[in-house]
Amino acid sequence: MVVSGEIETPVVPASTMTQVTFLNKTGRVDVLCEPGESLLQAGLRHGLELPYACGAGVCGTCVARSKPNTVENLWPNAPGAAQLNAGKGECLLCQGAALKDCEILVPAKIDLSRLSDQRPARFEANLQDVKVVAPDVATFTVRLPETVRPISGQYFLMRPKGMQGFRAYSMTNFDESTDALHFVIKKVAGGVFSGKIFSGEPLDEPLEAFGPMGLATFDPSDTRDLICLVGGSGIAGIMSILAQARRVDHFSRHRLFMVFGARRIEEFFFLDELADLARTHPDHIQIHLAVSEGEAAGDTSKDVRGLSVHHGFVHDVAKSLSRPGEFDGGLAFLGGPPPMLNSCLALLLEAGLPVSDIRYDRFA
Amino acid sequence: MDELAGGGLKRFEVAGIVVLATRVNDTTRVIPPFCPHMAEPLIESGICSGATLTCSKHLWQWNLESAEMQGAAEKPLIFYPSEERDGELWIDASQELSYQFDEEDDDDFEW
Repeated sequence: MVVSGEIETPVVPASTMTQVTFLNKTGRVDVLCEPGESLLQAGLRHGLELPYACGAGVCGTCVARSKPNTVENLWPNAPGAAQLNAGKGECLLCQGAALKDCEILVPAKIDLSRLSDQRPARFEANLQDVKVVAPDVATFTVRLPETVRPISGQYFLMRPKGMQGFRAYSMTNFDESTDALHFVIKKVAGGVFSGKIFSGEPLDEPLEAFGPMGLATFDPSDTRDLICLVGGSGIAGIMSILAQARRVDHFSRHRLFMVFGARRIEEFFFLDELADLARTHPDHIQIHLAVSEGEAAGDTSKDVRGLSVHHGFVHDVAKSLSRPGEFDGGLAFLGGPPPMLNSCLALLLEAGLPVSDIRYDRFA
Repeated sequence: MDELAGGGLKRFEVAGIVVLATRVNDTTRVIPPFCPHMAEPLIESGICSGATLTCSKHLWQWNLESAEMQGAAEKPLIFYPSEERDGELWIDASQELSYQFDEEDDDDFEW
């Protein structure tokens, strides 16, 4: 066990509820934490607008400070913890759990006097309907014991029993109120969760789910054209956004420019859904497929379900297919591995899109 | 200077000190290799578009020409003194520059 602060001494994890006081110059808020519950999840449950992005130890956004021997570090080697100053008691809210009643100093820019209406919650959920939809890619459904009201583009943190940390998965569906959440997962070498999903064994053990979370969301009253640049399973949250945009008939008035990338053509999935969407407003919707390996594509004979196939990385294909001013005034959603995100971000910034109009989750 | 012609950030080592250099219009800028926010290595996360440098980690931005912060940035970049002489970039790296990564406004907070 590693404890934030200067001194590391053996400590016993709390077996009962603890009271954590989040504080800074804007105020003090007391929150009750379940044993072993992360400070972030406890604070968000309470409605605090704490800083976070991935919620899973990767991005390092949720840095706060604790006093020595008060907080257990649930994942000492978290990538997001690499730059923490342990001497000053810095910890990640998403990877810290209170060992006893304690105080947590959060960044001064967080207004602790405000409480959010949208409060994520913790559920014991059931995993259902696993379907392999492409090599090393599967979809699955998580059934919650009660309905939730997610915003399109949001994600849930999930953890099967026996797995140490939570992982973030974006919903692919959108319903204003639902107890059935649909997800997509890529097989990861050595991955505990994906190993279970792809094992073919019955998934009868409940899993822990926490959400909905995430700020890379779509407001159905938005009146901008949409730009979606995605790779592989990074398409998940974008499918939810497209579902809601379709439901409010966004594309009868606004355009969609989308490039979906995979290494090989057989690795694509959700093509029926995308082709169906493209047919609803062909004058306004462009959806292209980008294949980064294999033979050059781009001629219409290589079209798949009416979606044009092009050779190259997502950002290259987006650049070559976009007309001057294509991205002006648009709202962009990105999803995929970090190198793809960076390349697409560079493309959109070069095109003059402000960062405030580019949304994505930093899961990796 | 030719190495900076293609734009973007270029990594150099000067007297054992790693720096990143970039050229925007007629201005050459030399900075420490880390983002002042959370020490992200800018050679990987830094994106130059026009005069703007963006760290893709948390989308902090700076104008490299004016040295002003943009958007979400809360701390300024710091620059090594440098000048161009006969097509070569000279950098004053007599002292390694680094950022203070602590939350200054938290340091005087009474727990």
